[in-house]
Amino acid sequence: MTAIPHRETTDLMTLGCGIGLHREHFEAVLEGRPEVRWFELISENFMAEGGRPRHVLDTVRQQYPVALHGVSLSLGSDEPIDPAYLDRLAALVEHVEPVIVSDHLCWTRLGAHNSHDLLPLPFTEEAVDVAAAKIRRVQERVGRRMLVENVSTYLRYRDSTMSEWEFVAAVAEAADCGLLLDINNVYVNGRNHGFDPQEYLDGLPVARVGQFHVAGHQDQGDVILDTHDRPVADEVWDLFGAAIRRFGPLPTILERDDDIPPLAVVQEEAARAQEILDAAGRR
Amino acid sequence: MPPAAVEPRPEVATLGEAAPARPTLRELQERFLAGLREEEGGDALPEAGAFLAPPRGSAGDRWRVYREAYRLRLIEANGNDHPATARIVGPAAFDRLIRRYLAVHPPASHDINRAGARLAKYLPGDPLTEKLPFLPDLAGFEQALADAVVAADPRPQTREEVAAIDPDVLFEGPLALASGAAFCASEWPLGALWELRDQPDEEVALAVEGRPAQVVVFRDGLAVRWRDADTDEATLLAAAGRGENLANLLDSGAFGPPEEAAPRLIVTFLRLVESSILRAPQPD
Repeated sequence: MTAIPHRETTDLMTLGCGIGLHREHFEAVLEGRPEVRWFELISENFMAEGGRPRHVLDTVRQQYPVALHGVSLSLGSDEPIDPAYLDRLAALVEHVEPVIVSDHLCWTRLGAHNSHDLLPLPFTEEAVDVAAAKIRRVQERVGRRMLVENVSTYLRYRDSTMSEWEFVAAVAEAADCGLLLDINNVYVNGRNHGFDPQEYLDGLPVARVGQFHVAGHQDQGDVILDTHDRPVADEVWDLFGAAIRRFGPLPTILERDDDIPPLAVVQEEAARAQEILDAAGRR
Repeated sequence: MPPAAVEPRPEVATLGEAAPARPTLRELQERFLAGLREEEGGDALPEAGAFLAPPRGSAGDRWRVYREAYRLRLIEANGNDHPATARIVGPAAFDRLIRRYLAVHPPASHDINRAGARLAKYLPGDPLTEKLPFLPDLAGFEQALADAVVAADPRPQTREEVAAIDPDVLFEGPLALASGAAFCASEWPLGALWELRDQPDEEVALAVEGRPAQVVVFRDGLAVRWRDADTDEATLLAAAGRGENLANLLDSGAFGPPEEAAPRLIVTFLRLVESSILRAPQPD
């Protein structure tokens, strides 16, 4: 598979805040060429051999920087990565030449059952070893360093032997990978499990963090749900600012994945994130 | 300031008792997935104390967030690819149908959009099909439409290209459907059933007995289209499904007496090739 013509090399630190690309906005993006700094695409949605998804991918990639963000590597499953799936991912990476390749620090499947959910891992040495080995395998196959994202969770395992941030840092070190720091997920987990989100940020190695996500959530009282279906909460904006102070004004994606409003609404929220990044860059 | 982190408490063995062995990662994951899959008795993992008590609510409630999210996500994915089925049976029945389907066929693909790929095969044994016997064929038609969206782009073939193929290859080589194409033959009116997906509740009613259909699904550029196949097209498409060739069809008598058969067959064949429904055989 030949790569589509590559745009000029993108300096990651100039990316600023982009948005996720969703079906609801395909027409607006293809026909309007809106002002968006970069797009993050769900890798699995564009692994098709042809048809409209491939057409959208190729057209968008010719006009914008693109990141590939996967949901099916299942890095924490205690089993080898599906080689056929890994080959498809590698082919997609070669074709797209994305600015960033990422997936989640969680597990989704075991054997022939894929839950299609980002399921929580116990924070144990065993889980560190399993995830790190798989991340190294992926990086070797796709020929580049990847970022792994911290996920939102609603349960903690009794058998965990370390904190979540210690676990994430240990995986990044063992795998020699980068981190995609989801600010909303840090906030959600802090509320759901009773820890200080600032302690989480302070526990991560600065040099490993390469990107941010910001998104909205639903507060249901006893539990906060990571729904990505509403604007970013004020507390998450505050935590975003704290993350920028610690890690720098990194490339950021504003995630709005459900109850998706018109593109202009999403762009407006991304602009707010961009103002915060720009202000930090001027300091 | 939120409360301090809830630290996991290590097991403390009493004198003379060995501490219970910690489950391995794989054991935990197997039990987690089993708990998601099971309609009844899926709460074994929280009941066994696998999770810490959260600051608010209970581990059982938090566990049920995962169980419900698993089903709702997959019901939605199945509804996206089977909108007519979902519309006709209604949301409550579709919800229950997909839960039964998932218990037998948990999703395997990395692509959630493939979650319904086995629904057509599952339906003949489902109780809902006793009341609505067209459901398996309708689900198969809907899956063919969904598959066509993401199929490799078919390369159109012209009649000039076909005319340049060695006649032995053309007539002896196996017929094949083009990428994204499918032929659906049914005793039920598939097209009319499919059109019900956008109808308001009071219009979801259709006479289905005695209305067989032979429909073809195909790609027209990026668009997915379907139409009724005429008798000759249906004969050709069915033969392609069986891996037969043009010579078989000429000999079969299906296209009329010998003096009519060849031109009738070739005209139909070329029409289907030029429409990116069939691929002309190619030399090895």
